[in-house]
Amino acid sequence: MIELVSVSVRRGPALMLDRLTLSLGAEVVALVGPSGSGKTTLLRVLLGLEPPSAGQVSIAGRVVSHDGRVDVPPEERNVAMVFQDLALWPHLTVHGNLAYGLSARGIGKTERDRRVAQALSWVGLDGKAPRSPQELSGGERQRVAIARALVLDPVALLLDEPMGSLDVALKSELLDLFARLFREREIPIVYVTHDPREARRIARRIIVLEGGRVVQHGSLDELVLAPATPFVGAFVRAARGADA
Amino acid sequence: MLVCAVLPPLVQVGRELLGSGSSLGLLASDRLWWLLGRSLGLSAAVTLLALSVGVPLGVLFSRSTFPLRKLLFAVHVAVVFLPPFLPALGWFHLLGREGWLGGALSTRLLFSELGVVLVLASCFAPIVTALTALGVSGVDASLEAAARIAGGPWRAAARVLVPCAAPAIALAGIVVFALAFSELGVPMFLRVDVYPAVVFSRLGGMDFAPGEAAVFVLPLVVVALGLLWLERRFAGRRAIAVLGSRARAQEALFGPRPLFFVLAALAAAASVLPLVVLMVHAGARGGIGEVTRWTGDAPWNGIRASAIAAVVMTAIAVVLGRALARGRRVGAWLDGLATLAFILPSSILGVGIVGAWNHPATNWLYASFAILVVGFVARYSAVATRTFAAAVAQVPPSLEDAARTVGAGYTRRLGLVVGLARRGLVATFVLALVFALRDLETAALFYPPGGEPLTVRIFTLEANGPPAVVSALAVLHVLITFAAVGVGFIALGKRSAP
Repeated sequence: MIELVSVSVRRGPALMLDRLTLSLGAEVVALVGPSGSGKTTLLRVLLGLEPPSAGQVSIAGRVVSHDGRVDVPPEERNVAMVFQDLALWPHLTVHGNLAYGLSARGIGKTERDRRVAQALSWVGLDGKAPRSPQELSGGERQRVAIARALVLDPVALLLDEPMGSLDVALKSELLDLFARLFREREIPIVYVTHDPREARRIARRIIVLEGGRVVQHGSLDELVLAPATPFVGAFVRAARGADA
Repeated sequence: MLVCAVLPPLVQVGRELLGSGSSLGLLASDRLWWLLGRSLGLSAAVTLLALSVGVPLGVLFSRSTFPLRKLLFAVHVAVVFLPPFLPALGWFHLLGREGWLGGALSTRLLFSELGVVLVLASCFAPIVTALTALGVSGVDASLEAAARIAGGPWRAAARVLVPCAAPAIALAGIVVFALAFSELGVPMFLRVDVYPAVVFSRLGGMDFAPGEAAVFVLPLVVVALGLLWLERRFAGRRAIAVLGSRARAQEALFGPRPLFFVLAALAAAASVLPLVVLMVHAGARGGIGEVTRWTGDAPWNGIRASAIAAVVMTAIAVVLGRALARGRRVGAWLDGLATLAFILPSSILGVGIVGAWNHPATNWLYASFAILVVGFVARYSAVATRTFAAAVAQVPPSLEDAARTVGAGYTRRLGLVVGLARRGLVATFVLALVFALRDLETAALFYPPGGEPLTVRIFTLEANGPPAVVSALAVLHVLITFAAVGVGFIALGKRSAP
């Protein structure tokens, strides 16, 4: 469970998030919005990389930051993230990338190896553990990134446009994999995307952020019926265009 | 220009080595090999100490917040711009027999191998600090964020930031080793015999015997080639890519902690304390009033030769640095040549330059201050080239491609790169100038009659001149160097304004 209560983030004169109140249960939500709407800032606040200037953030029933303070640092939140550029550490193998967080949590080698192997099998990468990320294809790197996030058994999962640079066929294949992996987990999952097709396939609920505020949320059908802003209108038109 | 400066001395060294077959017996001396082992051991100890101090400090200065961080960093790094024997002189006035805190034990420690290691490590650790800080700053922000989320800041620093900055750190280690191995001023001042001093004494001392010097450089050439291989293997273009990257994370990895401030303050104090001691010594003993009687033309000689050499090195850097940053093969070869000249102990370069230019036909150059310019360009072009290459690495190649598509030729595109990397150009000139100004080892071997730069004058006077005057001259050198750095910073600031 993730709860934000009247969260604001101010950077100099700019208000990145404006009294945002949001509650996410064990569900997959797609977070959409124009550039500069505050999507990345929201993810950074949830991760603990940035404190909210005002308001309160709770994760799994625990207040993790409030009013300019980070109460629980990022490494103690157990919130996982898949970055837009994947952020696979180039000097570590696939195994090293997955084992990094486990070893930070003091998990012994045998258990670590077991969990790494298990996570790689979830994403269909058995046998790739000794490889370097640079030796993998784009789709395989994507799978390593999601495996690295899930191997920690996180209490919440955030994904920041993870498929930005992939071709349509590969996206479709990975969306199926993501949808399956997400169904198997009872945690809040926030999926940031610009692509209405991705949003519809991955999430039941879509949250639209504009100017640091939630301007509308609901299923794609609900957004189609009454788009609250021109951006939402364009977004749902793009979704219908994709259907045609 | 680079080839003209570097190749003749290298070819000369090669010729002398090939022609010295009958003299190779000179290398049979046990003491010679013992000295070589000691020099290698001292340089390795300096490098290890500099790395173990500089790497954590580099991460600290780059990725944490505490009061006066930038000022303390500048003070810590400032000592890099000075010849190491100036801080050694300061430590002597503090810890030597007649020093303020001196005693028999501190004197014995200072005038020992341990003293040489500590003084040189305090002078060269800031090189590691600065290159680590630059390398760590260039690590992709999301790599750091991902590591921090999964394992906390300490693990992120140790397991991700430092390994990702490894090429820059390797470069720092190799530079420190090369400088420590080349260093003559500090070991000679602290009365510790080292191998390069054997060559030096055959070229400019009581044991003048250039033929023997040519034989004695042979083991040094082997060491230098080994260093060049290490540089190509572990740093090379990867170091330029790392140093040229600017992907700084939005927030500091470590929050403000008093311990960090204390560590940074200690690092800054270790750099500045010997200089303060020199100032006080010069002022208290009346050295400052005497300084004009003893300087002669030495400051002007050094500034003139260094400034001209810096202009030449900057020009070389523009062409070669761009080629290197863009992965051109010829750039890599020429950079290898320049790097070899930088890594070679100055005594080798000295043997080569004396042999190559000390002829009646080239006496017009050898007997003038121009030989200092040639020596500085040969020795320090690699520093200028690498600096500008790191700046060019930040300019997207697509900007040059765009210029090419609208008909811009090579010269025009070079102008475009210079315009885009103009801050790097200023930094290149300042670094080249400062490295030439701080030089002692190269200039000491072949400065023309009456044309010695200030570093050589101070080093010569240190043996026989009034101590307070020597301190005052050292302070004058510090002021000249910091004035050059200060002007460079002002220029950098103005260039960065919109």
